[in-house]
Amino acid sequence: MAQSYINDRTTDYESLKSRLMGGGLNRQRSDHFDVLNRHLRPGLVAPGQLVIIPDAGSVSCSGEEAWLMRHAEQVRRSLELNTSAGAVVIGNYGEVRYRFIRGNESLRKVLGISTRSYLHKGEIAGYAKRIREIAQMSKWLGKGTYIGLALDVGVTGLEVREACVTGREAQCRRAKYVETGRFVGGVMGSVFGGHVGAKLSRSVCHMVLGISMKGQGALACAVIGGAAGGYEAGSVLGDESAFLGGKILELNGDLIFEPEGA
Amino acid sequence: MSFFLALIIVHLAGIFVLLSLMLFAEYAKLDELESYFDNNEKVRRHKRFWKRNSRIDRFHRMGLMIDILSMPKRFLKAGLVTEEELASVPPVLKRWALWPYRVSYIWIIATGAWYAWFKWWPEGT
Repeated sequence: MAQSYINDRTTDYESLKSRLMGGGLNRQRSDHFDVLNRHLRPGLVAPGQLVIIPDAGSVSCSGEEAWLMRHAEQVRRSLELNTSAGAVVIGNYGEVRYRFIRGNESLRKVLGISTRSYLHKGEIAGYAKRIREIAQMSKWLGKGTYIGLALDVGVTGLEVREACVTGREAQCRRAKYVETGRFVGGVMGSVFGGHVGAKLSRSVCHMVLGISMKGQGALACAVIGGAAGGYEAGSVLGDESAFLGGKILELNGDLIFEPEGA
Repeated sequence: MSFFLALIIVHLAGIFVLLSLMLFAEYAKLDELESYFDNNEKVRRHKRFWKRNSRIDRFHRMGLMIDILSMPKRFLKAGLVTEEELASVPPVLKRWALWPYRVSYIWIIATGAWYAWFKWWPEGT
């Protein structure tokens, strides 16, 4: 049975192939791999791409492989859509990795899929969908929203999903309010912080640093201040809203607000 | 209800209102504001640079309006605007541009205070 694998680092196609298929690959198997992974060629393979590993004994394409190819193509398109939109999804993806893998959590776990090397069918479809969502969000980012926004969308979904797939119903329900609160607060905070941060930083640039109002110095100040303010306010207000979300309970289908205690 | 929780509710509601006011001014008041600086070279160049109608463009164009109105003396001294242009802007419009930001500074300080409190609060995180 053909399997698929998510590439977790930027690598060249040939070394990826020998890593996954092993050395001393015969011509037929090598060609089969190339056919299945047409979406990856040529050159470097970006992190996040779905790699299809053919069945050990087979050299002809099965229906299952065609299904995998369709999903791999979908993932590739989503990743490319983003690059062309200006806000590189790889960058965001890299940032997701940076933020989470730093804490020794694998990329697969971050993306809500199992930590095994190879994926189940359901996970592949879920992965393709998640990448598409991240790509769309990042495209929106490219049109001028502030840094720190895209990640929150994917992460919110994952936090909720993680609580829900483990089968703890109460935690799952609470996670929905806490994490949705964190996302809404984070977005609101990013935009608010971006506005005020940009304004403050323009003023500081003019008054303290004496950057000329005639040049483009103000633009640099606004961009830097907006990004910094957006990031800070986004994370603080996200925490605030998550805290508030934790005070919302669901009892017998009714939503109640619990003011004291947790 | 604890004071801490009440503070969060008021704080978040305030941010929501302030953000709405800022975005409203960006969308509904910017064009009128800019019309008072139609012949101003600095504003025209800025508009040429941020010429699309997307949010980032309106945000930066509004940013210049806010800078001019909040630091008029500096802009006058630099020779970028004239007394007449500044005087022609109705006070109501000036308020739309400036007050959401002025009030926001209080909210930014409150956000910092909340953060410090949350970090040292026994039941925090």
